[in-house]
Amino acid sequence: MRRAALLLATFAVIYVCNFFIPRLMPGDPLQYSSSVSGEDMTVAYNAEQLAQLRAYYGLDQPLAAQFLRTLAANLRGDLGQSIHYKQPVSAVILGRLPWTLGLMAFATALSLPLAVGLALVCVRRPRMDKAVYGTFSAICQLPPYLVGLALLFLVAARVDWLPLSGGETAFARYAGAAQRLGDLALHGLLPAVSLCVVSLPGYFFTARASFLSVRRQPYLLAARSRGLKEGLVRRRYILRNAATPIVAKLFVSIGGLMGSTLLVENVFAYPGVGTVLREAVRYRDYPLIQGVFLFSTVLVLAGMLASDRLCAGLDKGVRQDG
Amino acid sequence: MGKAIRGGWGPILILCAGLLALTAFFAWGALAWPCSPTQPSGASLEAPGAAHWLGTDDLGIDIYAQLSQGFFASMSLGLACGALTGLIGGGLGMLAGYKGGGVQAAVDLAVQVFLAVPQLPVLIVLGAFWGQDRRLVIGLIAAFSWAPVAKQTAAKTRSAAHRTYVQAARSWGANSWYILKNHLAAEVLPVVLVGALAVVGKAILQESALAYLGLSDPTAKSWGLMINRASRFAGIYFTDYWKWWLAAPVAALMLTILFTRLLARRLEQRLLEGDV
Amino acid sequence: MKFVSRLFSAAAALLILASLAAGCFAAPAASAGESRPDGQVEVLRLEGGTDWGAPTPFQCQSRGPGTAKMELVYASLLEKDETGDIGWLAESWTVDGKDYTFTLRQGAAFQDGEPLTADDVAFTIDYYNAHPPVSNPLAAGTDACILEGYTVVDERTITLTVKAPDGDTLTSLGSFEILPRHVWESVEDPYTYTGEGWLTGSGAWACTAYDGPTGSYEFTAVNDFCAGTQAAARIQFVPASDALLAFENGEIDITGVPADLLDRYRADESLGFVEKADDTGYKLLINFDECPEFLDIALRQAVYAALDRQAVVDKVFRGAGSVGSAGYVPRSSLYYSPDCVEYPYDPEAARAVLADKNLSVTLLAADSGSDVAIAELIQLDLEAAGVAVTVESYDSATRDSMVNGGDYQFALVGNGGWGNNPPTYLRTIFSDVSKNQGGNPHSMGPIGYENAEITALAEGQRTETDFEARKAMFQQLQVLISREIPLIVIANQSSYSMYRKDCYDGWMKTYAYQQAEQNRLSYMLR
Repeated sequence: MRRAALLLATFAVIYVCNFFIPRLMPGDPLQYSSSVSGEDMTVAYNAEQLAQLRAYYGLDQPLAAQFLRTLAANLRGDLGQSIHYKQPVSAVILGRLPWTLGLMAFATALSLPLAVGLALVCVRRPRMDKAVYGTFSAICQLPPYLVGLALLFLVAARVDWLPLSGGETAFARYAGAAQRLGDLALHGLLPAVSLCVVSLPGYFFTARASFLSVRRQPYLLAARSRGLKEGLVRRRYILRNAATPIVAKLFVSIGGLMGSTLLVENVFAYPGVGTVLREAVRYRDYPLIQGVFLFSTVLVLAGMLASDRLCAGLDKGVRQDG
Repeated sequence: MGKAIRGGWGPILILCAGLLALTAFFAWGALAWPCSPTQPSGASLEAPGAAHWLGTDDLGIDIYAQLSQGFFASMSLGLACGALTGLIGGGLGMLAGYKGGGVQAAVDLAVQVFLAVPQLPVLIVLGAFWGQDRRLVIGLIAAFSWAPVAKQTAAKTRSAAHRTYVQAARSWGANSWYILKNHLAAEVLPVVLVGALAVVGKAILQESALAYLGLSDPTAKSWGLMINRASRFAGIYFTDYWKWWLAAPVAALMLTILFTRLLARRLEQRLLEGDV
Repeated sequence: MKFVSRLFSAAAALLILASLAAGCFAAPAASAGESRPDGQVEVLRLEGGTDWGAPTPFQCQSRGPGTAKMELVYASLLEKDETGDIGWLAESWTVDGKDYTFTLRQGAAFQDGEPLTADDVAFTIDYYNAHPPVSNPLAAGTDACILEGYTVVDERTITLTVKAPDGDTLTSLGSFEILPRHVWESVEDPYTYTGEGWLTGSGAWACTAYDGPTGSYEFTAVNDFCAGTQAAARIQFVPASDALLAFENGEIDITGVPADLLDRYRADESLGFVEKADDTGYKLLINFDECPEFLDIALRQAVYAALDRQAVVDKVFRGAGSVGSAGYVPRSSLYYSPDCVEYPYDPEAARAVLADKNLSVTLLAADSGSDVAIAELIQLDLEAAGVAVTVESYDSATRDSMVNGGDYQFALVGNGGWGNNPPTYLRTIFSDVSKNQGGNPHSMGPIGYENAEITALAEGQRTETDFEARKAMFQQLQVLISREIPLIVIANQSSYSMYRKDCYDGWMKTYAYQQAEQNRLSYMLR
């Protein structure tokens, strides 16, 4: 309960900061006039039009009043209207969410089994363990954008069949769902691999530690002495008992994974929330910045809560030791 | 942690030597290399050669000179972030672990908030506003790095403070400062040190990530910015330019991170003997 | 293991779900085999990938690519060609003092088949007055609205009465997009409306697909459009990975070329090029309130002499561009005056004036690549002349609000659109009564500087309706600007698009806008 209260307080602090900080900073969502050739403002607003727009988006009111209005609207489930995209914030985010979540899921589907599998093998083979452990502890801080860039110019630019960026082949006509899925997977491959490289070590360390601790448990000895087959022992006892910390790690790393995803999306021009956040910040689209944050904070906190619940049992044991 | 991988001081010395070699390589570039890191000294986009070991960028500025300057910019930023993190994280952690009660609850909340904030989005938003000022960037990165250090320090302090000799010293009326200095410091400082060291590499990366998104001081020749500029150069993958303009800073960044990362890891194993 | 495998299958299911959800905007089936008018190509593909908003007058974005897509779907009374205004929905028009009478084309209709009448034009004006659109040439809904009223004469004829006619009035009256009354008369908030008929336009193209997240659009030619025949059956904006690669692979039919690669492609006979000459420009603004020393014109002349502006063209623009004319209007413009004062690079002369003044300035710049590179070159040149320069660069939005707020000493401002119609921007930059109002880069003028002569000319040209007389006034204005130096013009950058001639070569530039990909007439058979 105390933990839940703490998370709630955390959420409140983030929510308030997230409202005020962007608005107190220099810049104006309606006066962004910089451009490159071909993308310049083709419309000119006079002072009166600017005032009207300001009033439409509620930007003419004092900050405190804006905050109360936003809070009330958010409580009703209304995230407001994006100033840059001229659509409801929820529509903008919901349109991109499948891409981001899909990419995160794809990356996790690649990295988690690989990490768990490697850990299972490494626990029993010290020499391989040494090599893998060493490599992973070296690369575990590589930033996803660098890995993405390296993949981009070393792989994608060299071969024909890998798209350089984007999420799908536009206006393609697919023979079926499988072909469509294939297209999506092809586009998501490099971004997912970049994310996978970055998150693999974390999962591997957790899985490895977990297996090591399970291996020392007396019930394994008991199981083996009962003459159970090694494969069965591994499946039924080791994996099942070691799963909790691994899944907990998965939940905890949602925040980090999302951060990495946002960066990688920018590298590969992938149509997700990351590109939108970058644009929202560039154009000072306050409601959209808030919306993206609200979504990511909730996701991170939910992950933490889930991992807390999972670890609750384990934690007790640890505390008794200390 | 397995015994097999817990090395002695040997690997640490090798890593230090590697870092020193990198430093020397870039120090030569910063101090003795005839080309300026800010002024054009050749034609645009010259391929690597005798006059420009690593070629020149679109403005004709020598890339080796820029890389060298970037190394010291990155390193000083990383070290500053590490020091600041150690100071804040270590200080608050020790305070919380030693005092307990309300202080601990307050620090816990702060730690919780900073752990729960989606770091990168926040850095993107704040970087847009404050990214141009190096000191603020250092502050920002430190602000998002101290929480784990504080958490670990607090745990360590708490366990150390419960040991009998500390309890004994306390019951004899020793003041807090004395206890902290004489009994806890030796146990807790390695935790802080290792935590701070890990931040050095991370800070360099985070700064480069911000710079890559175009959210840092664009006049400083940081590596992330070089990567940003090169990768945004239209048609770069069609020309040969990426081979020196883009690959050099990427390689330099990866190498530096690798060394600091491995060093932090080794020191962690060495100093903490796997008890963290 | 069960648990783990369940987790994986859940993840896989999520992945599939996500992909399906993302793909619900499936590609529309093409009407293959249908007979097309002579010369019409089946599909024109352009680079997409950015969400420029829904193509309606209320929801498109305020930048070129956004308004251009909206303009494909909607039509206005007049259109612009290479030399002037031509009829579009209106087949003819007469001007009588303050009254402009337009006659609509026979057979004008909306995309849902409803006839387009003078009544719709009248409704559009009223509706825009209540709900100003994104692109608002009438300044509807504000005190500055150019219209006094209108009279519907008959089904096809409407008379628009303006408050004060000037040289730009006809163009403005011709450029607002006509809305279908039967859709919008019941809509309260057009800025959020996505209900029935929200994309029913009056233009040559119907929007048949729009997916914001991936930035893909498809427009399909409307049968029997009253003002001409479309040059393609469909236009697609395809999210391309790397535009050049996509062009080489034939995925898109026109793309921008970086200057470095221009020569490589020039040799290819089958390629055509559109030059957007001098379209991006950089200027150095001096805030005279902060730096009153520079009110001395000798110092401003010395700043010009100190700057090696050719180096900007060579190094930053990679040779594609020209040293800026001190009269502001680019050298390639129809309005350019060759009589403008030239300020060649002369570091010694600059040093002689500036070195002993002990000046130090802060130069504000945006943090994008070219801006920083140019700022650094300026810094080097000015420091060589003895002026200490600190470059401060901020992200563009911060830079813009600092420039608009006068919070700078020197500021480097770069933007596109210098190749547009000079009458639309010279006044808002240099006239003391019109500058620094509104949120457009073309209104950022010098602060703390006044010049009655420049202001009189910049304001006076508006009421001149004779083209040649007006052009003469503009040239006089440029010479004056080049002599007085209210701001320093650095350089202009040209950009290029290339296209495959055998595929389609109808790309055109209007007299007021060089972006061929954004001009409606580029997509019509002519």
